[in-house]
Amino acid sequence: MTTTPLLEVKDLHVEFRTKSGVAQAINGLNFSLNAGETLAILGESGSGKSVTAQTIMGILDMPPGHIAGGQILYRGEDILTMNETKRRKLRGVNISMIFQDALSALNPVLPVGWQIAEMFRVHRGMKRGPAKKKAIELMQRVGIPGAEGRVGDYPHQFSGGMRQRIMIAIAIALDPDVLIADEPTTALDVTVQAQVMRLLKELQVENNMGLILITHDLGVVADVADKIAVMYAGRVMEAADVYEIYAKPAHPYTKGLLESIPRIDAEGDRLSAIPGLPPSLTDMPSGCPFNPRCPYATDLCVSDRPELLPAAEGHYSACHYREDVYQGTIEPRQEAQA
Amino acid sequence: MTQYIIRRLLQFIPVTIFATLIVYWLVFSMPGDPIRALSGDRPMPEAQVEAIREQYNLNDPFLVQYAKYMWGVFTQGDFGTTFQGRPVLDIIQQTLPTTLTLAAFAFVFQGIIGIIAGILSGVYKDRFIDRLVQVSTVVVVALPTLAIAFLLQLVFGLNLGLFPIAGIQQGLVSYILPAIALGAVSTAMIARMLRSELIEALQSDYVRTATAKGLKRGRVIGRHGLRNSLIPVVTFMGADLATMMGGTIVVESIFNIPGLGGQIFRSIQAQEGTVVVGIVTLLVLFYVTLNLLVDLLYAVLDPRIRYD
Ligand SMILES: Nc1ncnc2c1ncn2[C@@H]1O[C@H](COP(=O)(O)OP(=O)(O)O)[C@@H](O)[C@H]1O
Ligand SMILES: [Mg+2]
Repeated sequence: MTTTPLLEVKDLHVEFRTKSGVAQAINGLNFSLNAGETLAILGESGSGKSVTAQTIMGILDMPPGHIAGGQILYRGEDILTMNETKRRKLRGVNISMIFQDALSALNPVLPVGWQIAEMFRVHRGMKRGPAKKKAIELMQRVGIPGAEGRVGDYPHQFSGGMRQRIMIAIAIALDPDVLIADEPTTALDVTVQAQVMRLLKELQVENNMGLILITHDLGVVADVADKIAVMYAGRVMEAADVYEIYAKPAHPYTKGLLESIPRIDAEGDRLSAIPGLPPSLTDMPSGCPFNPRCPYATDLCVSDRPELLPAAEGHYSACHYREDVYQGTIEPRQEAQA
Repeated sequence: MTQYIIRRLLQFIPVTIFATLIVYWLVFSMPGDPIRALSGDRPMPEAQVEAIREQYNLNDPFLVQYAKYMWGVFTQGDFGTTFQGRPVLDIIQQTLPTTLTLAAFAFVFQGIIGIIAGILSGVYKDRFIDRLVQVSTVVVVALPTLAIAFLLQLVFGLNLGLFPIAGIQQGLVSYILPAIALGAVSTAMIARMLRSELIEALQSDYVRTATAKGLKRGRVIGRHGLRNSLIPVVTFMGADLATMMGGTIVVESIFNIPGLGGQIFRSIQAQEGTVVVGIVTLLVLFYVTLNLLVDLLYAVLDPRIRYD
C-alpha cells in the first residue's frame, strides 16, 4: 500500500448552480485506481457518474458546474490546481475518455481517420501522411474491417458498434494510463455490447491501463471489473472487489441492487426494484442519503451521515450498520416491511 | 448526383418561365403609353407609331409577345432593344461590371465583418462584446436600407469626409459606402446566425470530445466548432448574393451608381419595358443558377447531405 495510486479522487464536491437552486451532484466522492486495474463505477441514472468523469477530464460545463471542494490526484499530483496548459497536455494523452453516444461525440463533418489522426498531429507533431497511417493501424487494431478503405468515411457511414470502436481508437491513440469509459455500450445492441466490452478489456490488458468503467448495469461489470464503487446521490456507498460485493454486500443499497437482478439475464431496468426514488439533489436528506428508501434505517441514519469505512479488509461501506449488513445479521424494521 | 443536377436544371424551365412571365406582365400593364412618351410634346405620326408597335410585337396578344421575346433571349441571346433602338444587351454589358464590383465589395464586407462579429459574439457569449454585437445587429436589421445609406452618407461622407458619397468617379473607394449600405443587413444576419450556431456547437458533444482530446481552445473552436457552424452561414451568403441584386436597386439609386440596379430603377420610371424585362430575366437565371450552386456547395460542406 506504499505506492501512490494512478488516480485518486478525494472528498470531491461538485455542484450545479442554476436558477432553481444549487444541485449537489457530487458530495464527498472518494475512490482510487491503480495501473492495470478496472474500477467499475455503478449507479442509477442521475447519481453523478458522468459528472465525475467530466470533472476528472476537465470538461465539466462551468458554469453552471462548480467544483466546490476536494482533490483529484493523478500520480500524486492534484490536477484541479494545475495550470491549464499542463492540464490540457494530460487530456487525451495520459487520461482519456470514451463517451456513451459515439454518434454525437464524433464530429459529423470530419472523416473518422482525420479525427483519429488529429491526436498524432497535435500531440506528437506528426505530418499528415504518417498520422493517417497511424490512424489506419488503430482502426485495424480496434477491429474495423477494411480500415484502409474507410479512413475517409464520416461517422454517419458506420454502424453504432463501429462508431464506438472509432471513439475507442481516438481514446487509446496515445497510450493513456487512465481510460474513462462512460457507459460505452449503453447505446449499442446487446450482441455488439459484448464485443465492444471485450475489446476494451483486451486493450486494457495490452496497455496496462487503469480503466474506469461507468455503468448503470450490474450485469456488465461482473466479468470485466476488478473493483466496484457503488454510487448513490453523488457519493460512494460501497467499494470493494467484485466478488466481495457480489458475495457479501455491506450496504443496504447494494444489497437491494443485487436482489433486483433477475435470475436469468434479461432485458429491462434492473435497478428499479428498490422502492422509492433517489433524493433530490437540491434538497438532500440529512444523514445518509439513502435513509428514506432504506429498510434498515434508524434515527441514527437520519441524524448522522455515515463515512466510507471498512466493513472488512479492503471492503468499504458508508453505512452505520456496515458490519451487520456484511455479516447478514440485520433485520428490516417493522414499518419498512409493511 | 449527376441525375440530381439534371433534375434541378430541368426545374429551371418552369421557374424561369413563371418568374419572367410575371415580370413581363407587370411591366407591360404599366399605365401610360411609352411610345407616345418617347416623342415628348410633338405628336408622332400615326404611321410611325404603328411601325414601332409592329417592331416590338405590341400588336400581338400578350402571350405571343412574351413567347417571341423569350425565344429571342434563349435562341439568340437577344434581350431586345429599347424604343430608341439600343440593344438591351448593350445596356447590360455596360452596367453589369459596376454592379458586380459593388456586390463583390458588399460580399467581402459582410463575410469578414459578419463572421468576425459572429465568432466574438458566440465565443464571448453574454459578455460585453456579445451585447454590443446583439444590440447593433438588431438596430441594423430594423433600419431600412434607405436609412442606413443616408446615415453612411451623412456621417462618413459629409461629416467626416472619409469617402465619396455619390458616383464612381473616384474609383474603387467610391464603392465602400454603397457596399456597406448594401451588405449591412446581411452582415447583421450573418453575425446573429453564426452566433447562435456557434453557441450551439460549442455545447455539443463533439466539441466536448475535442476538448477531451487535449486540443487548445483555439483549435477546438476553429476546427471543430466553427467548421460546423459556418455551413449554414456560407450557404446563406451564397443565396444572399442573389437577393443582393435586388438591394442594388435602392443603393445604386441613392449613391447614383451607374449599375444594373440603378438602370432598372430608371427604366421603370421611363417605362422602358424591354430593359426591365431583359435585366430581370437575367437576374432570374442568375438566381436559379446560384441556388443550385449553393445546394451543391451544401453537400460538399456537409457530408451527411446526399442528393440522389
Ligand atoms: N450541465 C448540467 N447542468 C445542471 N445540472 C447538471 C448538469 N450535468 C449534470 N447535472 C446534474 O447532475 C446530476 C448527475 O448527473 P450525471 O452525472 O449525468 O448522472 P449519471 O450518473 O446518470 O451519469 C443530475 O441530477 C443532473 O441533473
Ligand atoms: Mg451519465
